[in-house]
Order: sequence, then C-alpha cells, then structure tokens
Amino acid sequence: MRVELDLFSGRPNPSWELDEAGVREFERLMTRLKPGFATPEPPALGYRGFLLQAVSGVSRAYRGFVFMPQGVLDDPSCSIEWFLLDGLPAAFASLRRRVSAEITH
Amino acid sequence: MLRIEVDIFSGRPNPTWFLTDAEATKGLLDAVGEAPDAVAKTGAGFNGLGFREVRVEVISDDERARRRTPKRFALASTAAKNLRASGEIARRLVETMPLRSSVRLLEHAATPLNAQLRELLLERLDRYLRDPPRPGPPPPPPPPNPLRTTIHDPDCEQCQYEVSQFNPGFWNTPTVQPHNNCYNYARDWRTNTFAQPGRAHGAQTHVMACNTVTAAAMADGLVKRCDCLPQSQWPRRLMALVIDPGVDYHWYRHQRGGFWGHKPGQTPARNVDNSNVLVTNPETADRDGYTDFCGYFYAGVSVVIN
Repeated sequence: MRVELDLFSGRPNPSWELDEAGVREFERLMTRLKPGFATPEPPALGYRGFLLQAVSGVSRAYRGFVFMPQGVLDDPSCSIEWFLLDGLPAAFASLRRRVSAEITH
Repeated sequence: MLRIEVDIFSGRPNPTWFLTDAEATKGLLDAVGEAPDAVAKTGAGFNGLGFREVRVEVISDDERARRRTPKRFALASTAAKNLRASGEIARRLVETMPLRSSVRLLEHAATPLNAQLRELLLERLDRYLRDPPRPGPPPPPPPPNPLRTTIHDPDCEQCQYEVSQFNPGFWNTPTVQPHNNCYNYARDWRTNTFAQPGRAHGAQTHVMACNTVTAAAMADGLVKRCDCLPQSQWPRRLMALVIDPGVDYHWYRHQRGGFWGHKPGQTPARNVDNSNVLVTNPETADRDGYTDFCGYFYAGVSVVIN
C-alpha cells in the first residue's frame, strides 16, 4: 500500500510504501472505525491529510475522517493519521512537527 | 556564473553551457560594460531560421551588478546598435565554448558540446556577421484569440502581457490533474511531469527560499516583472511566487477577469484561496504556511519548463 503525505504544491509529495506489518496494523486500526457523516474539505494550500493507494482505490485520512471510495469512516482520535505520520521516512523528518500540529489543530 | 545559449537551431536544443570561470566571466561582463550598445534584449532581433543571437544570462543572485550591463542580454543580435562590436564579443565567447560538457544539461543529450559544433557555430556566426539579415516587416499582431487578452501592466510603464480565460476543466481531469502542479498551471504548460523550476535547464533547487526558487525559475526563462517582454514573446503570462520557508513553493497566474488562478499540487486548479475567497491579490490571499511573497514574473513563449 502506498502512502502519500498530501502537503505540497510545487514539490512532489513525500510518499512511501507500507510493509506487510504496516499494512496489517493499518487494517487493524481501520476495523475499529465506524461510519461517519461530516466531510471536512481539505484546503487548497497546506496539510490535506494522507492519501492511501490500494488495489481498491484511493482513500484519504484527514482531520479525523477516512474518506474511502465506498464511504466515510469516523476517526475521532485521528489514529490513522498518527499511525501514518509515525511511518514518515527519515528524509522528511523536518515535516513531522508541522504535520503533528495540523493533526492536533 | 553565466548561462550561454547560442540561439541557432530550430528542432534541436540550442548549444548551451555555463561559463563558470571567474576571470572569463569578468572579462565578458567588462567588455559588455565598455560597449553597452553591443547588447540587445533577448529575442528582439532577427528571429528566422539560422543563427539569431547569443544569449547571456547571469544565473547567480550574488553576481556583482555592473553599470550598463543587464543580467540577461543578447550578443550578435540585429537589434544591437553596434552589431560589429557585438559580433566580436560573441565570437570570442563562442571560441571559448567548452568542447566537453562538464555541467551536464538536458540540452546536451541532443546537442552535445564538441569541436565540430564549435566550428559550425563560428562558421555560421561569421557568415551572419558578414551579411546580417535585414530587418523584416514588423511581426503581425497575434491573431485574435477569444481566450486571451493583451493588457498593459499597470505597475510597469510600457510592459504588456496576456491574461487568459480561467479554464479549470483543462486541468481538472483524472489523467491530467495528478501530473501537473502549480508551476505547470502558472506557466500554462501541461507537461504532465509535475514540473520543477530549473529542472529543464539543470538548475533545479532543493532549497525552498525566495532567492533560490527565483533563480531556478529564471534559469527556465522567466524574467522579473517590468523587464518588458516584446510582442514576439506572445503569449506572456504574469506569475507570482510565494514560499513556505524551507518547505515548498507555490505559483499563481493572472487571469482575465481581474483574479488569479492557481493549482496547489495535485489538487484541482481554482481561483479561490484557502478561505474560499476569489484571489484578487496573491500578496494578501489566504496562503496558509506560504508566508513569503517573492515577487512577480513574466513568462514568455520561450520559457521552457519540465
């Protein structure tokens, strides 16, 4: 599963692959989520969440919601975003604090 | 450091190299300073097939400014007041073209620097200087285009540029949107390469600051606002650059209707800011972390991005 931090405008977004253990943990976290209804719109510039590219399509984890092709899930503790932020490659470590502030905003 | 381009070819990339030797750079700029009538604006002279001019551009932001020496100019152009002096300086410059590309540019794949090329350039330059093309009739005005309007730049006397109809549908389709970013949109070239300032000319930067991204974009051919582009550079865009310091850059393009369009990364092209307000002034628009406003630039037809 490919993960992309949707943050930049000019530069390509940071992206990386989740390994098997990461995919299993992601799926475990997802099973704890329930259907949601609110749909906060990501902004034009700045943090727009994480994009997840799987065989089933592209999903977005943003501001405590996971938007999937088949519907929206509620993630009030932002568990998916925190999990994905933990996996941010070292090359992009300088973005960690910025993204943390966005998730907790 | 100077970027040298011999504007001669039509299909192949022009011979291009960087002049890195400090003494040679000084020598060239001093010669130009002593003969200011030897330089012309780039693209202002003969623009037909064959040799046209030698373009010189300062691409370092800390190159000492010299009186009567612009940062970007043409030598051996028919637009120069003193073509003979201009041709002499150009010839000396071409004589010192490296015979091997120490700085590898994209152009060198199709136009490698070597002895045969240098001989060709000198032969064509000599022929051109012996019998320079006569200035032709003024170029016809651009054909009317319902999607573009030429306007006077209110901030720059005598400068004009083109504003285009806002056309987000051109950018916001599944096969286009992910592959074109703010730079593609502002320059209005849908390359599908997620273009980066400077990359087309081996001058990309990874330092996100106004001066570095500006230099990279100017390596692609952008010029500062009020450095008027001639009509031969039609269509000419007005672009604005902002920076999220140390993180990223973003561009806007002035559109018809008095607003600015932009395309943040892979997201859709739009004409509103982060507060969903029409962007009438990129300096005051809601730009989230892109706090540094770097300035405005023109991009003419000769700007190449990738």
